[in-house]
Amino acid sequence: MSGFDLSKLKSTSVVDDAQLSNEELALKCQWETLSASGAPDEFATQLNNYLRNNTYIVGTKPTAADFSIFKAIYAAASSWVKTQDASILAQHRHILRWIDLIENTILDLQIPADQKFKLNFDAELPREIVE
Amino acid sequence: MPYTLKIAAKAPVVDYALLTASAFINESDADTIKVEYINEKTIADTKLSAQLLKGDEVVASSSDEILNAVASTFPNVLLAKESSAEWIKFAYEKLTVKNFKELSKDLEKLDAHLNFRSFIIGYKITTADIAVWGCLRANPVMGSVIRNSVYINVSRWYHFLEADKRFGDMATVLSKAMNELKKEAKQKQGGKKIHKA
Repeated sequence: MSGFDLSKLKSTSVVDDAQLSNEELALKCQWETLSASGAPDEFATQLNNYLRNNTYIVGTKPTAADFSIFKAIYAAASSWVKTQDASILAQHRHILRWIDLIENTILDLQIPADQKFKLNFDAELPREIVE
Repeated sequence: MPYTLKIAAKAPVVDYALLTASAFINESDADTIKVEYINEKTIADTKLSAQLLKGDEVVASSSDEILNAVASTFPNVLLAKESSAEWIKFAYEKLTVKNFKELSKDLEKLDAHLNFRSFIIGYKITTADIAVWGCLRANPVMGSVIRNSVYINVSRWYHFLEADKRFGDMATVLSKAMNELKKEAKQKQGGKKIHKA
């Protein structure tokens, strides 16, 4: 259980939907649909693979999609961090990188510092090699 | 007083970090740094590929010195001067190496650093990102390494910055300047011939 109420977070300082192209809106919609698909493990794998090559969910700036996906995956991500298990961290490394980014940018002022993820940034993980 | 950044356009390695740093400074305050491309391998009377001047006075004369100097002068634009210093050193010493076997050890370090980080330092583009990106962009062995995602985190971070025109547009800016220089050189030659005739 996280120490703050996820439902009270507000999506401030994100790029407005009106400024997104049709492709970007489609991408946003696609990820929001996937996050609600009811297959959390599969979703986590897909999201991690996607964030391997993408800093944010859509384009190169935070959008409302980052905010909604953050809320959808936060509980799972908390549980991975708590394990401190290198293989679990490595398996979800891109999601964790992104969660930390969102937590410290668009949600920075809303989440108390002592309740943010305690990621060990220099944790030794095996280098990832994708065929 | 405005600054002039002289860049030796024919240098074996053109300093993209300095071009990007200038783009950051000029975006925040137009025409603060005038970039002057020299059609030579080095700046006159030096063995260096870049030089920063304020008026007629030389401010800094090697790439890392120039980057540190502009980061000190424009701290609101080129962020995290203090913590970027070690990355500037790392970039110019290690990431300009063309021997891949040697270079790969440092790319592994950078890739590991970017496991849980979206930027090199903190959550914004800092001088460290500019230095490291610029040295990788200038390194001829890096093109295929980035394209093939040999170091996945490095490629993600690299492409993310490249989408920012202050990084991604510098190659075009440079090739335009090179064409201008060539044209000028031709005109001069042409002029001489006419004079002789």
